[in-house]
Amino acid sequence: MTKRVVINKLATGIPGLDEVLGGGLPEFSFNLIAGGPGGGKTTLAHQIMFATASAERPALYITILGEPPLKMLRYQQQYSFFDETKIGGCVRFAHFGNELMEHGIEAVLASILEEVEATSPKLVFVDSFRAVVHKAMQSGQMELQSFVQRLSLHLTSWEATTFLIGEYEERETESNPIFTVADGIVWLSQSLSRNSVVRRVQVVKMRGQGPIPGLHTMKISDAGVRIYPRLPNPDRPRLHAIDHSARRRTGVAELDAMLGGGIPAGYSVLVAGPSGSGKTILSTQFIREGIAQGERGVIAVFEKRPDEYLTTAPGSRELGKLVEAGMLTMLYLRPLDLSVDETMEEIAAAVTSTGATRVVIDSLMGFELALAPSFREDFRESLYRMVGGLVELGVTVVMTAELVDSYTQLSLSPHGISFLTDGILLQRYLELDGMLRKVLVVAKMRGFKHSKELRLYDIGPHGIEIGEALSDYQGILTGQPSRRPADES
Amino acid sequence: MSPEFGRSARTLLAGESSSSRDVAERAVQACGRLATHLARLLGDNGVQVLVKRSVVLASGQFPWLAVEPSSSDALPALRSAMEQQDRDSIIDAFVGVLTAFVSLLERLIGEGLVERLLEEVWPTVFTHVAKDTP
Repeated sequence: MTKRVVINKLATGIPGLDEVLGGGLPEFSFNLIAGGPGGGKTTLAHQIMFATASAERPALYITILGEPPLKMLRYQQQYSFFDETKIGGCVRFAHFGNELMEHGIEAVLASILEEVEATSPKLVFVDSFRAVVHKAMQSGQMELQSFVQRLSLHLTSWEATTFLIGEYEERETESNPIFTVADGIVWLSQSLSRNSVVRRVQVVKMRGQGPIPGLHTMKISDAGVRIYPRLPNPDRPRLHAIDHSARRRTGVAELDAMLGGGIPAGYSVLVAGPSGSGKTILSTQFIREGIAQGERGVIAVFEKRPDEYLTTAPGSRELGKLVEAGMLTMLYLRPLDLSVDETMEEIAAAVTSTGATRVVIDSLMGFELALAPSFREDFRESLYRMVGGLVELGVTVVMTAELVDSYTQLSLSPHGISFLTDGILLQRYLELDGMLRKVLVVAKMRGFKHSKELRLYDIGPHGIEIGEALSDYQGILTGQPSRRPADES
Repeated sequence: MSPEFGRSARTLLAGESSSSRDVAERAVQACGRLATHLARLLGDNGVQVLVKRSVVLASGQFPWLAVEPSSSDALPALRSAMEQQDRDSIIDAFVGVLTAFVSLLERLIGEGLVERLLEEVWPTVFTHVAKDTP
């Protein structure tokens, strides 16, 4: 039996943060919530406090200088997590601004320690610690170091989990002793790209556990802070066992035959083709077929609102009924400042809550446009992360992508993203017998045999209708096929 | 502010002596007690500003109330002004100042929080029933 200390991890109450921290916040740790102005530091701290404070785990929120408490209380009440019934009970506030102004940091330390010893809070927040740092630096670096070490030692000895909140610049991380003493550092930032601002959070340090590295997207809404982990949680339970030998029928019998029975379960498939080629029709047939088999589906749309999509998409009336019946979930993700992690989380939440096995993303071009510019810059990485995360859930994913027909080169996908998906269905226009016709081919279905035929198809009242194989033609992909001489066919 | 609030505020000044000096002293002590409690939450400066503003607001109804513009602490001037008045005028003005203070604070941080704070200061006088608890 091990005799090593077990560090309890506190749930922070911030969606996504525990995952990023590596399981929660170490109990009795001494943490710094840092970042520039407007980053959400005080909101994050309040949300943690109101979510975790209880009669058994009382919280003390100490304000020093910085945002006046009156204004802080006024604004924080606008968030739904603010629970006034806890104030005066398990959540208490104390203001030591005067101690700092009139007597210096020793008086602040004495007041904090006196308060802690008198009331034994289990959670202590000091906001803004920046004011203390400023005052201490006037007396020299050593005084600040001594202050921070004594505060840390005392609060840990009193078994309090502590948060110091303050504005810092990244260049201070090397010179400010607080960064050395802190057990955990959570850094909040905002990055401006063109006219879009993306909030991000980084766990710079978390002693004793492994946080998810990197910058994670953060949103602040009326409900407070929400964090979208950059990488899929490896511990997230897989919703459906992945058995690629099982097939998901597409709703187009001839296409299923071309695929050897349907799309392998758990695969991601790209439907690429020019405008009007029937990508949305095929993807909604895929969803409807699943629902006919008793499965549930999710369609994520980016270009149109769901109500608009449900009035203009092929078979829209039936889709609307499926939504009403709870078999189909339509997701509309707010365009233009979206992060890939947010998209992933929204889709994953819909899949998890409904038990969906099929997901359609219509379309990737819309998804790209909906992303904040900083995520658009590396669209392939964004897509790679999203496709990986969705497939890990065990769902079968169909994504549509618009492809500009080029008859001088064969392109399977825009942005060179074809390698990211397990399968590709390619649609193209061609001129045949003086008519504009459409042709479909299974360009790729990783690890499985499939038809290589180029098949004519039309869009009929019931969706995609696949016709004959153009086995007697050559030069089809040039857009102007010609019948092969009889002796070659 | 409800009539009940006024009645409750008046009970804070109850005492044996009804001399202007003693009633004024009780009024200033009540204001000081509230200010001291709130200073933990809002800081001394924050509370002093609120008290000063409350006296200014109440002076619309009680013109003899005055604040010393150069002083951040409104209570000494309040005491001096009250001592010049009769008992009933002092009590009415105290209710006026407290009403102005509570109303101002409610506008800033919300009625629910203010009710809790008043109850913390005078638990037997201002007992509110939480509206959001069953």
